[in-house]
Amino acid sequence: MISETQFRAIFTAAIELKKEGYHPMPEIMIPVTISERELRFQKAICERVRAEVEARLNEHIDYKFGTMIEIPRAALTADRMARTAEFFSFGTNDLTQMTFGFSRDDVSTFMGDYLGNKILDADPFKTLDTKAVGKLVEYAVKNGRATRENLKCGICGEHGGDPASVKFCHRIGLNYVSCSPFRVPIARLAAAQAAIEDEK
Amino acid sequence: MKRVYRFGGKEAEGNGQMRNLLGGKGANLAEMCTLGIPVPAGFTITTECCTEYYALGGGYTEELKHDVAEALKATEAIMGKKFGDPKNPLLVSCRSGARSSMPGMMDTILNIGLCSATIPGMIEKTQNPRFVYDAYRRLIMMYSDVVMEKAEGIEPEDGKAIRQQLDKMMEDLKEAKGYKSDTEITAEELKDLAERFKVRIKEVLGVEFPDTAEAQLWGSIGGVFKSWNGKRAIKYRQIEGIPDDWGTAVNVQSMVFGNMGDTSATGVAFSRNPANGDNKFYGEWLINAQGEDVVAGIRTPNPLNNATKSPQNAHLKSLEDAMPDVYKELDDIRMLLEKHFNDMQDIEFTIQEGKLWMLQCRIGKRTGLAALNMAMDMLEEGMIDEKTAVMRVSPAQLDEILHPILDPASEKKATSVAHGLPASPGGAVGTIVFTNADAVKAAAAKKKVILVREETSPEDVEGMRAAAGILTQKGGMTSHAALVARGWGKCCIVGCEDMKINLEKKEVSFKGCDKVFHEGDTFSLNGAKGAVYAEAIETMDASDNPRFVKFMAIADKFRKMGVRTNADNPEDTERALSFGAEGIGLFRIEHMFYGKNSETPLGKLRKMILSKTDDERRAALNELEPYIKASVKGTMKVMDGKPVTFRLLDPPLHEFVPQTEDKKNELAEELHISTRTSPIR
Repeated sequence: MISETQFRAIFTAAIELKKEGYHPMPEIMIPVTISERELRFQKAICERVRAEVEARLNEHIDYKFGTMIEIPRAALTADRMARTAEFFSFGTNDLTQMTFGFSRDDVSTFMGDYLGNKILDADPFKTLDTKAVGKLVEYAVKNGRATRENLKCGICGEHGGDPASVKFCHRIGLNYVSCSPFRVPIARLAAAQAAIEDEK
Repeated sequence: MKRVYRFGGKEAEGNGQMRNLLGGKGANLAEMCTLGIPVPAGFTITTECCTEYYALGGGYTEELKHDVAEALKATEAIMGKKFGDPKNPLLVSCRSGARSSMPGMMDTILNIGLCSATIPGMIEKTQNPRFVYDAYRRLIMMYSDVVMEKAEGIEPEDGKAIRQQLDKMMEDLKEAKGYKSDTEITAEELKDLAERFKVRIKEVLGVEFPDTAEAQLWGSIGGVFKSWNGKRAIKYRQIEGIPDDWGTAVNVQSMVFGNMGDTSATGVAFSRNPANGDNKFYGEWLINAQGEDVVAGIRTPNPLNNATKSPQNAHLKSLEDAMPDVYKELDDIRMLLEKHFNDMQDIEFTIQEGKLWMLQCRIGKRTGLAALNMAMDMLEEGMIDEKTAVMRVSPAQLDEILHPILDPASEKKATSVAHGLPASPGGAVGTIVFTNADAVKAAAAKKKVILVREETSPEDVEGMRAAAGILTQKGGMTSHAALVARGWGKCCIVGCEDMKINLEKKEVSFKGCDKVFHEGDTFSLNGAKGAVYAEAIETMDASDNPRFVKFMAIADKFRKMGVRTNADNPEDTERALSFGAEGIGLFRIEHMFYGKNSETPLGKLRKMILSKTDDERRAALNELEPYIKASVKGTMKVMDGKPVTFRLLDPPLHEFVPQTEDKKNELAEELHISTRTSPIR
């Protein structure tokens, strides 16, 4: 019921904009998904609502349907998730939290000890942990694209504005990174440098 | 394995490509020699020997001892002097040199080889006892500090370090004699001071100061190796992300002297301005001084040329005016080096009795603004290509360019209490603290602070890191504070000589200002102008630079991956578009329930969450829908023609409602609905 309201609000807004001469490109993303069945369930509602709104407003709207990948189970079943999802957006904050078993709310109380004793080289909430979390992302991209060749993949966690993480995202072939407005130029430069370093 | 690489006499065994083995300093010394630039002869002990030293538990192989002895002979032959010789002694310096430069972290020892056997010969040769004893007391001060204390891991109490004790003895002497400057101390007084230094060292550290050239040399080499694993070096590596196992090389080089009278001098320079990138030769020099005097900020240095004078040093004579021929030669070397390395160079030089010697060149650290301006200038000059230009500005430096500066309108209304040297640009506003520890503590409590120090030392790096801005009383543009702050893109003002600090009371006052300021008072700094304000000034960001826009357009040519933004409202979206976002990767629907104008939708959301029957919920949702639509539509309109990814409501719904049953019922009554007993998803 809650999803339905949101789908309706998004489609109505998009069609209204289209009629006003704009070019809206909505992408609907389901958060905290754990399985493809859950995605299929939501997609059915989404499609029904779209048909209703299109009929009511007598206008067609294109959109993309995708999912957050922020639970390890979703990453590990990426081949199946990609059957329904047209795009993946990696929520690397939660993915880090669940892969490490750290709670983000009290991580600040013990992260210093992990870093000070060199158990960790960097705070994994700041710089993407390529050894495990990054591996999950890479695995999900590879297997997702095996199912759907043109699957769009991006990340939207805090890591999207961290230069080292952006370079990693470039290397594993993500389509985009997403970060807070002030970090956008930094991500653009880091992505450009990653591409130049590739050529060398 | 080749352990030692020689250089000198316009020839070198190494070259500029061998940074990993020779360290940055050693590789560039070799490169300068092969370019025909005058470099005092010497040799570099490889970084592999540092690793070997630690593998042996702190010892040297026979091969190394042999190779050093041979290299020393070659150096002696080029310089026409002999190390440890009573009649014609060669003096050397010993410097560390890691792969990437670590300013102030590792140590330098000068004048090695001065001992009771060689001092008479030096005096005989130079006919200048004052010079010799001054060099000797410097050796004792540096050696006891670096080799006998720091390298041994001795951690004295605050103010009890051997260097501080010796400094104090010298200050006391000056005060007793009424001297203002070090240069007023006589030869006899220096000789006596050196003897008293040695007695104090024995008392404090329990070891005699070594009295043979050989012992001093090997002590210094070991000291450099040990300093690689010193506390402050480790700290710096952690901050900069430099691996612990790289090791450092050791450069042993013949001494040349900038303190042999008024035809001698020493200086530090940059081939372009490291603060703003201007293509002007920029630097500082001191007549009749040794290198450490410039960097340590004991005397305010003179400007290199007339084009780059600042209000603080305009009254001092430039090298251009004082020694025009030497300046011309130095300027030619600057151009040669920049052309050769295709990047801005940071150089150290000494003039000994009118003859110019180059002691070091390396790629100069710079601020973000300077990095951007230099990259664009060098691209336009045809010195570098577009790819190189893009690689010249690090993402962290870009971040710095986007950092705030003091709002000029707000700054105009304020009155500065003092001016210092503009060591590193940007604006900083915060409460003042006077010690490294206080800065670290305040930063941990998320407070913005300005670190106010007489001068900074490598021991202060943590506090400097933690502070929003740095203000020092002493020091020039190449002082420790200036170098480190620029490296980090931190706002910094040095050489603010009208400032007087009372460290014990944690107070600061300014000439011409009656008020005394205490720890916790708010200051603002303009790092680009060197202006200090004892009040809060508003800040603004500095992203409207047309060069920044041009640079980013070049970077985009090479970029293959898209960059979107996380935004949930039209204002953020517009800002992100101006920064070049190509879409929204995350629009969080729940964000409309936070912040300004969120009361009405939040009320409706709560009503929906707490409603008991499906009908009540549906009704509440229907009321909510127009609000969601309006929020979604506003942002999608701004992002016209670019994708917007909407994430459906995400956080646990209970975050939006009061936590206790009482409060829930209260709210339900207010909303005229019944409450659910079980949570919903």
